Amino acid sequence: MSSNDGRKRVALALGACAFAGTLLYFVVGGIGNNLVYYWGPTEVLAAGPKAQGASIRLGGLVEKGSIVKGEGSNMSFTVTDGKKSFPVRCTSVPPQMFREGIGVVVEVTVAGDGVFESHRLMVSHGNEYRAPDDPASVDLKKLMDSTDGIRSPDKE
Amino acid sequence: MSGEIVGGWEYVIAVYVISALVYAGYAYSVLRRDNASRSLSKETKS
Amino acid sequence: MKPKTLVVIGGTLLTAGCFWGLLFAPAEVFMGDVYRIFYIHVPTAWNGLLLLTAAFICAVMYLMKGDLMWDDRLEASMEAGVVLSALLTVQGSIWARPTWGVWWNWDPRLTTTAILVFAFAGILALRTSLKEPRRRAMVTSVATIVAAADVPLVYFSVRFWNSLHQIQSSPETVSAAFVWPLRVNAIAVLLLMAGLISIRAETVARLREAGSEPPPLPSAQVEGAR
Repeated sequence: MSSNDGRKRVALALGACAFAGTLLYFVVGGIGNNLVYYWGPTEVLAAGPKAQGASIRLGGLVEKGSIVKGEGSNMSFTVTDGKKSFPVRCTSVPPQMFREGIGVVVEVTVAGDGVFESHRLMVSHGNEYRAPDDPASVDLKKLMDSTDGIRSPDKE
Repeated sequence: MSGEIVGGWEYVIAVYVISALVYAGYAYSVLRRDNASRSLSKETKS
Repeated sequence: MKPKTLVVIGGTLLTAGCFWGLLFAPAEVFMGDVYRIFYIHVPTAWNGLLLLTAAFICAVMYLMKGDLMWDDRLEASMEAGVVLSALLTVQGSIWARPTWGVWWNWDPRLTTTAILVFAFAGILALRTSLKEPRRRAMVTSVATIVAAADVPLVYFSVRFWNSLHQIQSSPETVSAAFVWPLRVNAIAVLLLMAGLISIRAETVARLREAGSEPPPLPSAQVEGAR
């Protein structure tokens, strides 16, 4: 193998690393800001009338005491980010973990009366795993905070 | 709407059965291909 | 330690860890028994990403040193990494159904992981079409370095972007009763895969050496046929 070959390979290594690094930089720094899996209530309000009629994903926490059960599987609740909140109507049966204070992502369209009509309700799980006899398991607030990605009221 | 998952063992069992098959299957495949390559390299050397 | 010993120890430990997590560890307060999936899902994730990181290191080492041994190791770790990440998405999908309420969604963690599986599986497929060892090693190394950009994206996706997938757990967020079976399984998979990739790397080297030997002279072949 000639030393010329070796130099070509090292150049390729540096080139590939530089390319991969640049790609990473753009994905994380540039495109990353425009790549949004869900919007919080504040962001939706900021979008204003543009959100009307559009199908979007709304993420936040289920507000305490806001769950109202209707006929059959009809249900309504409020999604909050601590600053702004939105009423959501839902006709599907929610996942078993659905409860007050848990993080949710709902695929919604804005109905005429300003209420969000949910097509799909997803429940987020935090990064905490507690055994029943663990004293920390009673700390519900801490568990809610750990539902990261979904913003919790105290964090912002 | 208790906020707790009740049951669901079928999901747990499905995950563990699939995982066991993949881990064991991959280990078997690595060992089998290793044995096959031994006989192949003997043939070329003889 | 011989690779086969590692495989046996890893396999035994993994079986023990799974039984511990499935039968003896307590249930989780909200997720009940479904949380038990994490005893296999989390070790699969860690080791899958570790194997693909190893493939990246092998790619850089090949280009720096030019020794085909690094290409053999690259193929071994990449193959195992693809198997684990593919398994990871299936495990996660089954776990998502009872927990999130959906089998799949295009959350950043899931999307970047899907890209990871397809990119590295694609490189493995590309390898089979290249017969000349040095050319194959060169093409693979460059492609691997580029695809490896997705590895940190998968890991940090839950922190960079809004995601449905929770962020990484740590011993502070996991009850002590759950931590040990999880650690046992993580170490078990590490030992198992370490054994398997060293065996696989030897196999790949053997096949490469057998394949690159000069073919018998045409006259000799004719003689043999008679």
